Amino acid sequence: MGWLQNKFEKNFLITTVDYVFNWARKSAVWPMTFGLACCAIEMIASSTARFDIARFGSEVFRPSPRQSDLMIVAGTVTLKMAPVVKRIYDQMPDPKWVISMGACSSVGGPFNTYAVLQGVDKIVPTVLRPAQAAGQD
Amino acid sequence: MPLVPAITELDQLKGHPALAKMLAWNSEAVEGAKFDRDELTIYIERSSIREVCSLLRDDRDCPFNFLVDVTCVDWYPKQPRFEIVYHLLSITRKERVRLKVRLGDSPEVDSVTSVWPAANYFEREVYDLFGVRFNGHPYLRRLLMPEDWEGYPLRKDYPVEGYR
Repeated sequence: MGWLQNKFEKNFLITTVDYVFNWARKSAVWPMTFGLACCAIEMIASSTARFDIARFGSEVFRPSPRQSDLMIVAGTVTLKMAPVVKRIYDQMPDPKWVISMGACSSVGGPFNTYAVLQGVDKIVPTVLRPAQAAGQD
Repeated sequence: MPLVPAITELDQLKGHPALAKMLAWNSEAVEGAKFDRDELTIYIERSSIREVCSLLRDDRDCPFNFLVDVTCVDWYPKQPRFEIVYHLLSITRKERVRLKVRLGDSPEVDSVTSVWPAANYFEREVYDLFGVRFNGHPYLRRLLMPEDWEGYPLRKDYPVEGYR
């Protein structure tokens, strides 16, 4: 009966590791360098000093999906581009998140046409869309 | 500036080098012509479009050495339905001419890729979106739409939303 007895029954260490991991993931979200249309300009602007996405630990845009946690779908997803978006998403390691930025990628926006995917959540699970962010969904 | 009525009489338009050259070569190849708002349009008979194009390109006095555009008009439900439009420019002479070919029964026409290599992608785009076949084209595949796409989206009987 050493002093370690009964020290681990509350799983104190395990939850602490989870907490630390989640804190690290939350504080350093690395987005994928990846833009589709005019929303990409807005996304790039958000990483500049004026709007400063680095406040949330997201300043490191990774050029490889293997190093990214977050995919920002910035712009219209055409049907020809959709398989590529899906493939990039599949190449990202878990845990991973998707932000659908703007109306076009969320629901097709003004482009209710034969060539445009009507919402990127048809191919990848999105965690954040504008309607949800505004509490309307 | 008041709008001047279009001139459609071939006799009045013979002064234009492209039309004069074409009439001298084979007057049967010319279905008609129109001079409207300082722009000359020549309607060409379908089977002679490739020869007409190489004739205009190799003209010594006024070589049309620049193929600006190839596109298509769908006049559905009118017949003839499709109209292929070629915009030509002579860089040396600063002359422009527009050639049109009406496609009646079947949507196919000879490719002019052998005359101007620039026609390659233009014709692929027209094939992709209008379904007009270009005979003699070296690589007639879809250009803009996904490879497995069915239908031709810029036809007037194709719904804007597609078939989903």
